[in-house]
Amino acid sequence: MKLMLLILFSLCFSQSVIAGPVRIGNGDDGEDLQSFELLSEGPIVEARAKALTLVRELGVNRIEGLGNLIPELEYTKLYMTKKGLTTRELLELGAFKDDASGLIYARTMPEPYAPTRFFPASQNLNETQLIALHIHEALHRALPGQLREREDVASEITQAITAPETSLDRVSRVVRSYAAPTQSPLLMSQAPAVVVPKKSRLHNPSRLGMEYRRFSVEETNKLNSLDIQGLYVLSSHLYPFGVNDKAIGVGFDLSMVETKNDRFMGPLSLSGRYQVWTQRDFDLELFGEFNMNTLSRDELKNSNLGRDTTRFGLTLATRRDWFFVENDFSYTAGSESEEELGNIKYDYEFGEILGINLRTGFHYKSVMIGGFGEVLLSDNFKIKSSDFVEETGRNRVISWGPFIEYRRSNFSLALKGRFLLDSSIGEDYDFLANLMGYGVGRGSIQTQINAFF
Amino acid sequence: MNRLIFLLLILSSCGEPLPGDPFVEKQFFANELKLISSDINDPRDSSTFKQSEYTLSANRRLLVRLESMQSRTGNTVISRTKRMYMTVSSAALLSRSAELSASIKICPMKTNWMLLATWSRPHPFPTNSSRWSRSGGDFEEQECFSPDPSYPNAQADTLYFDISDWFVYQLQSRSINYGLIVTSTSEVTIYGDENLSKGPKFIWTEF
Repeated sequence: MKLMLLILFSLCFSQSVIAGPVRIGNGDDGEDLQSFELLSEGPIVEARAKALTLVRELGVNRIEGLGNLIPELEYTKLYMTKKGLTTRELLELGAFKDDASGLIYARTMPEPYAPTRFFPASQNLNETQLIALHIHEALHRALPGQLREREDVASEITQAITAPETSLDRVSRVVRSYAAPTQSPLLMSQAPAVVVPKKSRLHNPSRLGMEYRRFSVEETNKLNSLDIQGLYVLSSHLYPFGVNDKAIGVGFDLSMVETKNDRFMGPLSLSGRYQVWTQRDFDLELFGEFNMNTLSRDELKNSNLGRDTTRFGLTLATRRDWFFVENDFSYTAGSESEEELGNIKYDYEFGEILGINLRTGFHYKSVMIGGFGEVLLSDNFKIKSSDFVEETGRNRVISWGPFIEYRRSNFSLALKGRFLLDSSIGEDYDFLANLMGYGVGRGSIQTQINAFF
Repeated sequence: MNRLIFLLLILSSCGEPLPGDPFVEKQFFANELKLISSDINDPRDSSTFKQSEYTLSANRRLLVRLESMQSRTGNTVISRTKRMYMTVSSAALLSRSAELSASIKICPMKTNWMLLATWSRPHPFPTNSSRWSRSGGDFEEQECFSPDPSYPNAQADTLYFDISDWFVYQLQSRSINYGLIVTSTSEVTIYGDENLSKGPKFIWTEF
């Protein structure tokens, strides 16, 4: 029965008041309301309270486009025509349809906090009908923009809100059905807007850079005979893929080795990166890189640097107002290489390496100053030939280094250092045999120029 | 009488090979040689391996090994008359034979080593065995071998060292091949592994 009344009620609204809301003035000057009296009690006031309870329990404020419905319903002033008005006076006040074919129950204006004026016909409505009427009129004031004056929209949303066993989803669907992609921003969109934090790396994740590393090799074990003095590296890491706040990058690093008397191509690194998280001022990036040796067996016959390395890891970074912190976790898979000394062939087995790196520092305007500390744990290092076998067991290499970087716009110039702080007895970077990752000898100084975009 | 002579001939031949001897003499040049010197700290110094000559003295010694010797000597015969020898050749022996015969010795190594060995270290890796017990290599003086002058048909520029005991006690019994070290109290230049006819070599008999 209630449903039938509601349907009937909605049909009435779909035809008539739809004429309203009629701009009969905002009543500020009092003239338009002279024939009305403020309602403070009675069935209409009580129905408004119940309408409020209904929309609050439903949680309509969570629906985009209905955020103002509850306050419009709660704070609108309710007026009723005074008793004793003539039919002509009622007609002038808008109590009848324009073509006089029906009665008007209430009117309001499509403006926030406009009053609601009830007419004598509303006194014949029951509580359920009054609740729907209050919601309908409030929608005329609460809906965004051009939807306010559309009776069909107000009626359909009212019907969705007041339907038995309705739900928030149902009401949301009805509201969204009137959303148009090019229309009011208050209407529902297909996906929420993506907000990328200001300091996020997503803004300029790609990098093109050149670097020169000078190694400290004077007092080393001379594990390799190449007498490597330095390394030039050209890096290109681009992030062309990804959606919203996710970015996927692919890159490579080309290197050239500088020895005392010669230069030749060094390791080639191929890498993939996935910027997977950028919220709460934190960036989380996963990476994988494959460093390939580019020298032939003959070119490497006096070196143990001929191994390929595969490395995975994640970087967690945050940049605050005046400082930054970055944590790196990495895993390098074990691999092998061989070397020919004299007439004897030696096989080198390099164990897995776990690495943790803490990088932190301060930044002021265009300058960043900081340092890093790193712990590398290598599973085992083994060398063997037909008659010789030696294993080191677990090795540790602890490093540190300062850096200073000047960044202006999308360019930067950096000076960095990497030095051995502690290691298993006599061990240096040669034992890691990862020229691209850690270099050789006991450390290095690096100069780097970058462009970010 | 003829029968007696025939019987004596048979009896005298029991401890010696008959004509058509199944034993064969094997010779292998040592292929792992490393010069260690108190003057050379670089383990990769090119003058310390793959050379045609090495100069020895009180602070310069030569580590010698035949790679995979155990697998090569499976049929080796060691007896009172069949021995294993290591040779060292030098042109200086033609004129200083007596002096060098007294000064050059060969000693079994007690610590394993590789071709990155130096005067202070058998190898450059950070392990417990990364340093010699004493500089110049780990060996015992009383276990060193002097040249054997009884080697038949010896060449004038070569010294022959009977290393049979080392072979039996180390390689055959314990499967340990730490090689040997050539020492000399006098300065002498000996032929190295790049000399295809005069480098140090091992000689033994197989059946």
